[in-house]
Amino acid sequence: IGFDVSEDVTLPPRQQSFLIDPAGQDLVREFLTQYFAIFDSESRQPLLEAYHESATMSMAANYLTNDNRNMPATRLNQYISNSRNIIRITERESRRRYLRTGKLQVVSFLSDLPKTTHDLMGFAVDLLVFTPTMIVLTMNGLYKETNTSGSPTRSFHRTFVIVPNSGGGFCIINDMLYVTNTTKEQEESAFKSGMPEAIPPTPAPTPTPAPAPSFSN
Amino acid sequence: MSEVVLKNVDNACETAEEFTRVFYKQVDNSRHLTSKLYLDTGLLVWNGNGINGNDKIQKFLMDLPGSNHVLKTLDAQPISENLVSNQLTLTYLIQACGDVTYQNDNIKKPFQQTFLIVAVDGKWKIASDCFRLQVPYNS
Repeated sequence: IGFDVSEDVTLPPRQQSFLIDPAGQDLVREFLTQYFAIFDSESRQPLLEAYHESATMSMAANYLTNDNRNMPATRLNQYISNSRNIIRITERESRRRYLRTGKLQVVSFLSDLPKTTHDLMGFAVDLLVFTPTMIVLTMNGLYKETNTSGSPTRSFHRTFVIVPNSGGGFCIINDMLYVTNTTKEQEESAFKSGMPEAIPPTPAPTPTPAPAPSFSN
Repeated sequence: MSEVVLKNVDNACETAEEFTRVFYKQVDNSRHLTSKLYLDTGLLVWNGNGINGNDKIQKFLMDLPGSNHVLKTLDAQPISENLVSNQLTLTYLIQACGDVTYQNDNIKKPFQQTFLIVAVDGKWKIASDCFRLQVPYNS
């Protein structure tokens, strides 16, 4: 006779995306397409247009528990040296310093990160808040470092808090990025999406006209 | 940045430490109480499944296998309050990453979780919680 323990409980199936409001779909898609086209280009300077004057940005990086840190492609030194992991960064002064503040600081920081190509089609995007005054979205996905030897693929989790700008477009006020290595499973399916399904199509008609997708003024 | 803004940065970090200590302890050890940490109208997005309202969140969480979370990375930022409509709500953005083990298979899985927490009547409440296991999501 056994015990009635819940060993057979399984995890709910995962979904690629969640939208709190289907009306946000086009805006989010446009915004991310424009943003990462610039992020993955030769110069990230034009991202100045995408950030609010007093935007804040921070990045934290860490190894996966099973990472072999002796392999050159697995090393995250370029990220770890700037990582604002507050479990390790315990002093208030350092925590303040590692938070990039103002769009000049933010874009300068982003410009120093390795050159990338993001797997935009493979993004999992969750739209958590969609109101006239604030949009919050998170992304989970992969990118390749294009100028690093061995072109390693990294996994990231990132959150944007977006607000309307004075020009009728939108800009990022908070940007929080987490970078780590890919799992074997992620590595195998990286850059393999055939269809642009980063955000699933919704059958319902858009109830309100979509706001201007551009983040430029 | 002004001293007030800087203090808010310190406070976001210290609140994130305290909050995640409470949150993961509840989820792992007293899950039946976890929904108290969410706003009545709170949102949980669990691997792309959206659950609205803390009654439904409680039920969803109870159906998950037992868990053990180990936090390895934590980050937090204040969200500019005067920009989020005209309400004087203090809002923090928190990102927590680490490993989770579920009792059904006992395999350590990397996870990433983002919280928006707001101060309501002297208590921190989760407005949105976005949980993602680090697995492929492309179909």
